[in-house]
Amino acid sequence: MTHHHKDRRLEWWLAINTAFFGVFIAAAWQSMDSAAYDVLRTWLTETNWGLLFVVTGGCHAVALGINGRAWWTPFVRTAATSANALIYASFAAGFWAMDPKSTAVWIYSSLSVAALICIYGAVKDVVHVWGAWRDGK
Amino acid sequence: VTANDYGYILLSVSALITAIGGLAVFKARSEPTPRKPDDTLHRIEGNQQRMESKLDIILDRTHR
Repeated sequence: MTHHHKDRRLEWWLAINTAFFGVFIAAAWQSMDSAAYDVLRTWLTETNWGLLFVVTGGCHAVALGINGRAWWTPFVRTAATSANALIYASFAAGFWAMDPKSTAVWIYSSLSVAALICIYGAVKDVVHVWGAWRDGK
Repeated sequence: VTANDYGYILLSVSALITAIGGLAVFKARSEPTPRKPDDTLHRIEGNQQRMESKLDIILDRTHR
């Protein structure tokens, strides 16, 4: 497992960071009180947003850990990174609407870009798994 | 930001994901599919060791 970590440091960081970010949001304190989250709070409660991040980040980390030993892991990685890209972009959009100069716009956008970078590697692995399955048929 | 604006943002990011995914597919197709490590040599060595140990037993019995 360890020799794959060097290639996927950003993806590992994204998965673990997302899972712990979910724990932070789901914790007892209020962290999504800002007006930037007005629309997002109509979609999910703060706790459910936290759970979504925990599940997404957790599944992503498990898939990275199992890696090539199971055929489905690149598909989970693609789904998790796509969800990350969409959700972090939504978070950035809320702050953009409130104050485009907010540091949160940059931070959440960066997280979305990190997810987009990881999608590239995950989709390539999906193609490789597909190719191996087709050749082995 | 209204819910509609979020819809446009999500659509734009989805388009980006599709474009990046398409690029990754194009790139991956031009690369060889990674193969499983060939364990033929390992299997031959295992068989050889088993045969040698059986031969030792037979030779031992023959000497007796």
